[in-house]
Amino acid sequence: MLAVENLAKVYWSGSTRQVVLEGLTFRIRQGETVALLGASGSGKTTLLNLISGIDNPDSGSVSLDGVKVHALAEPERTLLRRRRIGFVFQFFNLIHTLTVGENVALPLELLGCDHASTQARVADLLAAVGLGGLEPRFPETLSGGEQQRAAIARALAHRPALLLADEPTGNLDEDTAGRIIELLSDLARQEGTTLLLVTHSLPVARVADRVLRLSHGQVAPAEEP
Amino acid sequence: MNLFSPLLLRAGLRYLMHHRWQGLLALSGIALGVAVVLAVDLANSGARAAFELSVQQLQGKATHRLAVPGDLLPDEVYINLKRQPGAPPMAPVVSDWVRIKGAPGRYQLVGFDLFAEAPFRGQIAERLTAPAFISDWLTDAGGLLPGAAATRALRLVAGDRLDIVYRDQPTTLQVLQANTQQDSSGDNVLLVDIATAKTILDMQGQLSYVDLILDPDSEHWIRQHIPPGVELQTVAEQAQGVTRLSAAFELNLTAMSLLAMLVGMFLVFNAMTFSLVQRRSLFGRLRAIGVTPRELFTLILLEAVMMAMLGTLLGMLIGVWLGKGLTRLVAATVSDLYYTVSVSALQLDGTSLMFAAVLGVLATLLATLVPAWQAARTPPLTTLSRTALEQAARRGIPLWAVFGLLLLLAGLLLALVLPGGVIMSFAGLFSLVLGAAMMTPLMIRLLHRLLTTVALPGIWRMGVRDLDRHLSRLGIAVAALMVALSASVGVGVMVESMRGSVHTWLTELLCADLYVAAQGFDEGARLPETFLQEVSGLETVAAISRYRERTLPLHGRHVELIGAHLAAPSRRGFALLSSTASAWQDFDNGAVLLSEPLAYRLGLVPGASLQLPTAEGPLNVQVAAVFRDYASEHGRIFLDETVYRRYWPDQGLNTLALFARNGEVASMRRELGELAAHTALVLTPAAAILEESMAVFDRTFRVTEVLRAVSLVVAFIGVLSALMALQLERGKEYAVLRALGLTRVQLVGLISGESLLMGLLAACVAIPTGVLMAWVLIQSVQQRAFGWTMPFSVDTGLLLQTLLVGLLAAGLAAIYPAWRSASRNPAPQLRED
Repeated sequence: MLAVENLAKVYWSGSTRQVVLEGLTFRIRQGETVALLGASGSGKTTLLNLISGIDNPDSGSVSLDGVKVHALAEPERTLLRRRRIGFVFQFFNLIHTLTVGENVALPLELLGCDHASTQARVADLLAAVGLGGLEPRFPETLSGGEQQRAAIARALAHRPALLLADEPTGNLDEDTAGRIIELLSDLARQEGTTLLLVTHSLPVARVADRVLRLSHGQVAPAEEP
Repeated sequence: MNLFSPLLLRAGLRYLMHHRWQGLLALSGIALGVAVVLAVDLANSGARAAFELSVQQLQGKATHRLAVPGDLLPDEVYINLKRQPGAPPMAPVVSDWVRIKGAPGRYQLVGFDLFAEAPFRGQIAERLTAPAFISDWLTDAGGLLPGAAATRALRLVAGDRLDIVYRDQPTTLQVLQANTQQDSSGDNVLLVDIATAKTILDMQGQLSYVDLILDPDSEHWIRQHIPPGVELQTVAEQAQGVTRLSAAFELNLTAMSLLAMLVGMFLVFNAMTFSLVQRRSLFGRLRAIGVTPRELFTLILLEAVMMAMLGTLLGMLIGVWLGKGLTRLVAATVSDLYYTVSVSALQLDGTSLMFAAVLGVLATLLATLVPAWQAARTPPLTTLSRTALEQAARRGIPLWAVFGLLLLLAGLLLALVLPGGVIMSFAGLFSLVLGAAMMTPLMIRLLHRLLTTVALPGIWRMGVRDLDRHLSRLGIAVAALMVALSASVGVGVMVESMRGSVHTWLTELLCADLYVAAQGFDEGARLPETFLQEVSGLETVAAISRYRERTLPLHGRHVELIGAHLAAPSRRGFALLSSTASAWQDFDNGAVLLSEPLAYRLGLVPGASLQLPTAEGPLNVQVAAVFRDYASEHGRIFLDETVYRRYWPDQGLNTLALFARNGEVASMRRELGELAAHTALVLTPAAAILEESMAVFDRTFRVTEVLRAVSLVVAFIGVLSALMALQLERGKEYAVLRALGLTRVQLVGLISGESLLMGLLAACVAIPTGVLMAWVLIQSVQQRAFGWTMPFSVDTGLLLQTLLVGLLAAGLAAIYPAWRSASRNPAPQLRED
């Protein structure tokens, strides 16, 4: 489903060269949940940005269902994200001027879905993440955990083939983090969505079918999932 | 795919609702810009429409007019034509301006021949031939029918008696019927029977003109039958000749209003940039979930259109209100300088409203394009930090400055080097201003570097650094303030230069000790020839200059022709800009002195020849010299009295300029006082004429002053808007400072200091820009619009005033944001992520 081949990314800070990813290769099957473990600054977020087409690699390729992401022009990559990819961020990144319901509805509206089916999907998802009835509330009135639940609902709204989660529990307390990660992986499995979960926390990675470790720009299977 | 997402639009509008101040300030930028443009346009069109209405009412269905250029038409011309078989419809008219005893302003007294009127002015003829009215009109020699505006202004009712004064001669007329129509504001006329008019206006055996209704055949017939010296004009040509006079004045006002709109556009640009930069993380999130740059761009433009529509609507309401006041000012100036108009109510001109609406929306969209394009290019998830953003903005500064310099140079080229009309000069002026505005951020950086070398106390040092740190946003606000201040300097220096030039010119020209005219001289009253002999015999009079004036149609304009005998001191008062080797000798031999505006317009230089229309056919004269003149933009021609009287023999003296022997002005005045016992005279010392002329000058520029003030208000809002937005963005930073121990007073000091610094920097850039603008205004705009040039002089007081205004505007703008920041509880802001 997702194939990453020899991916490399280098950042320059003045004349200093910083290799973030170097010849990175791995594959993820359809419906699989994979956790990518790595320390801060190991290039986890860079990798997600490259997979989603937000950033361009220096070399190598990313294929999503056989489509080479970086062979697409920028507008096509944007549409690929809109149709096939969902995002869950560490800082939730909900849109503060939209209600919870509207936040979840936004990806569907962008895809041109009709109002009735959008509303039904929003209600289902919010109920599934435990926020049923909170549609008219604005994000700032919710707790951190509730905001992340809303973000998960938004990420899954358009039934993406691939869900990218970047430290989804990094901003939550331990208890809430545990519940959120369970919810995320359960929903991804229910929806048949491939989940790539980036984290530095081993307990969080335990929900995955497979755990990879990112270190020194290379990825390797973790010894203990 | 949808053209735009309603949800995204809702998100954008909610953002603006959450940041009402920002939205309101952007709205006020659009609204004020539109308001000023609309108000000026309404005032101009109101004055023009009032004039055209009065002309239209008087000309009725006439297509042509018979007249003698610069003179009256003998009755015989009309009678002879009328008697011929096949003569087309004709109506004789007698008309001139009169005063009403005890009422301000002048009114047009018009005499019609009732029996010739029906085909021409049906409405008037209908009123005059009403059974209850016609006998009074024909039998009562003093019967009067006032126009609607005159009826309203003088509060007339039927039966009232009205004392009118013409050339100091009073006559009493009786109002036969009051015109109470509400829709006609321009008809400032008093209608009387033609015989009554001839008596009052002393035009026995003469007519002002004859109106005609002609088709091509009858036009051909008339041309074959009119005697030499009589001219056939179309009425359109006639009216155009008058309205064209004020075109340059209108254009100047319009340009000033567009300058206010330009400042308004900066404000919109500023507000939109702020609102978009503040939402960059939102745009980054949207881009991450699949919103394309084009969708973002459309969304932002849609937001701008909605704001533009609201702002334009608001601006149109303010514009109509502002237009009411401005119409009175413009009408007063037009009446002072060009033609008498009476505007009693604001006319809502559809074209003006449409122009303002389109301009408001287009200007907002134009101001939004760059920030929208930048926002649409926001990378997904906003990989750029605030610092990186500022660094990117800073990298762009030299490029903006180069563009600005090119625009500025192009502006100078357009205005000063390339040939063209006044519109080209204004295009150059706008290009110059825009160029200077684009160079402003670089100037700020350079001045900032200079300031950093000065050892400032800690908090002030922070203020100076902040300005550089937030250059991408503050730069635009400073540029907006700079544009307003430079416009103020430019126009101020121009007005002051002109005031100084006019004063010098008048002081030199009015070198006689006393000027003498007949009472009622402004209605054309003349001094009797016998009076000249009496004055010449006075012991105390050393020298006399004599002036006889008339208006002459020349190349579609009404030029003043002055037949003069100029005494030696009067000749010294002329500032000759260029002349033949023996200019005064040539003048004595029949050559003319041409005023600068006329020479410029006709492209004439000393030695060239000019044709003057006379009753005996064209008179060829040579140009002896071109003299500096600000009396009339339409032009003045001085011709030796002897030659003048050969062609216009029966015209009396208008004015005498008297020079006292041995400076005994008081004795001369006493002797003249004795003469005045049997001749109605107006004795005016040069100083009084100078004072009155300068008062008219100041009245003329009152409108300009209003527009200058409005531009400054718009710029003040710009700075306020920038500070408010910055305060919003830096809330957390201020909270941290408060947490670290910065007192409220210190925080107020920091914000106010930054604002004052913005004012200072804006003024520093505005002063040279404004001086450059003044140079273009004087060297290009004034010459191309009015035909005159003037020495360039910069008043340092005005420059100092600009600096203070800049500081004051910035200081005032800081009060509310500073108070708001200082009074906020820092705790919630510290908790925000």
